[in-house]
Amino acid sequence: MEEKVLKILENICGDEVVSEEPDINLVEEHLMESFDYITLLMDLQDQLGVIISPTEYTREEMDTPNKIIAIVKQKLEEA
Amino acid sequence: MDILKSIARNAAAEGNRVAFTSRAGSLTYAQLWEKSGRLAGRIDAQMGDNRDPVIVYGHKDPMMLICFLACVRSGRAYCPMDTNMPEDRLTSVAREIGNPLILIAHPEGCGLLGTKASAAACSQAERSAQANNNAQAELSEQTDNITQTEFPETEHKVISYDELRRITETSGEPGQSTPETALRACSGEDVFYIIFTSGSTGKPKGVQITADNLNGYLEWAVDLAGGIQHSRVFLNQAPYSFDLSVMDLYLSLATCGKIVSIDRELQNDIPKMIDFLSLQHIEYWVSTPSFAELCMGEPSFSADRIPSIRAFLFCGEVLTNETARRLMERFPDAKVINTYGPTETTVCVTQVRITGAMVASDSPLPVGRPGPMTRIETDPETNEIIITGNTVSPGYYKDPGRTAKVFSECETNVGGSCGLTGASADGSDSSCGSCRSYRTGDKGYLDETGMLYCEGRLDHQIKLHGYRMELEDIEANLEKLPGVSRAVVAPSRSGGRIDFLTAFIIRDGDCITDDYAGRKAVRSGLRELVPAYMVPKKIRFVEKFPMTGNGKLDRKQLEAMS
Repeated sequence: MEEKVLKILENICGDEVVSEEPDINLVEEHLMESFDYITLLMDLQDQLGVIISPTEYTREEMDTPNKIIAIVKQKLEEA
Repeated sequence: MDILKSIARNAAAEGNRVAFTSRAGSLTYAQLWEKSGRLAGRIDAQMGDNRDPVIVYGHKDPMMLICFLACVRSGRAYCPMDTNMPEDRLTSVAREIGNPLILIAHPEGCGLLGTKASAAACSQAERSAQANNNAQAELSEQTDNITQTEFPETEHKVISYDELRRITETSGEPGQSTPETALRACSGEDVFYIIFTSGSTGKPKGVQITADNLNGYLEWAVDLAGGIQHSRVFLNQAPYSFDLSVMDLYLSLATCGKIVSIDRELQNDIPKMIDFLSLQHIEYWVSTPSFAELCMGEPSFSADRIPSIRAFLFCGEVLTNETARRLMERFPDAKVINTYGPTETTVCVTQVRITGAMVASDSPLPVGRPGPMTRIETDPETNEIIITGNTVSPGYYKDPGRTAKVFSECETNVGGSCGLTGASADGSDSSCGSCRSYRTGDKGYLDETGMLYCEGRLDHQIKLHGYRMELEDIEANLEKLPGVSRAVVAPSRSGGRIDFLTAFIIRDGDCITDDYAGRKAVRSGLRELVPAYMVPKKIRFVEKFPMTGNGKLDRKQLEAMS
């Protein structure tokens, strides 16, 4: 699962640094613009079946690869 | 200027001078004239009333030149086809002309035509081209059928390399050859050569260049670089199916110079090639900017090694400030000349000597001013560059549809002269009697002094997430960043839509590091110069860019790598 999320993030952000440094701040580093955030939510749904609505979390709660992985993990356990 | 007369004069006056040399052999002016005369007689006798263009297939053998001149001296246009062309291109061009005469100026023959001496003789490159072709043929039964029906072994008119040698060595038997006095060489509005360019949609376009076009071009071009001097040494890098080669080939022949032609294998071994060019005392360097960049990857490529270079003549693609700057550093005494022009207007129509001040400025390099027989305008709405003058082609071979889209009769010419005048070589004033206009598809502008700046292709305009932008605009801004030597931006497409952009960057030194910090520096540096939506998502550092067989930047391959 982790690998899948990182792969999705690499595609969206266009830089392998998201896998190398999973605590990197995607927003501050301009790796993920708001358009990309919507793509992320759609890809998570398509590829992992995890549904997150755009208003469910703030951008700060989803601004590093590790935070995103933790939320996806939590969602999968709840399901 | 009458190029055939000039060559004849050179052959008569300085016949022992070498006209052409490559690793495949050499040719003096006397030999070139004599051999092409014999072949012209033979072609004329064989073809009779058929005055269709003749295909000349080969690479950098001296026989290529003999064949070119033989065709035009027999009154037939030639159509050069380099050995790097895929075989289905040769097939489609032959089909376009309709079972033409094909001259094989290549010692190893041509696989498609069954003239190959043996499989072992064919080069690695050809073998792989053939393998590609076979794979394609398997995919498409239709292609296979065309190949077979188009070239039934017994019907096509081919003169093999061995036969060409025999014909050109000895005077032909009476009856087998038309006497020279009965030949009517290409002149005036007769088509002199046809160069096929890859159209954006499948079918290649055959650009017809007339004798008047070529002569008009040469009248202007002999003044390049402050005037081409008599009997100098020219580099030929481009294959003959690429019109850049016309610049070195005919400028050299017109001025009794020597063409030093370098083959593909040598171009792939830069240190060895530099040795060769140093020994040959190259004086006028004619190549694409990409090729000069490739050479600069080699530290020995400098005036210390090749002190004979007087001028670099560039055409075929954008010359960047950075390339010109580095070149002027390596060759402080050589002139760097930028030129501009599409195949459709006979190689190039503008020229400018690049100065240190131009290179140091923030704006891209100018491409130059036109000569007296050319007028340049830009479309007020699209900024498309429109060229009018005596070197504009009459249009595409047997393709009135595509010709009408981009060519037109010079409007002001209706009912009189369009006002373009200039002194011709014989000293008399020549005025434009029947010139044409061509819409280039390039974007650009003229400054207040009449200097032309070209900003790239109109069709490099793309739309990403709804935003319209120019790839070249992004590239030019990337190249402003310290530590960036060259940048090319390639779109990634899926289903006809562009998903994101990748910037391929050649670094200059290490002030941008080859890691995330470096990629980040590029992104944030660019974000200060262009809107955020224009910042490529992916940044990739590379050592060099892929090149096409013609020595131009290969954008398609970069797209595939993105």
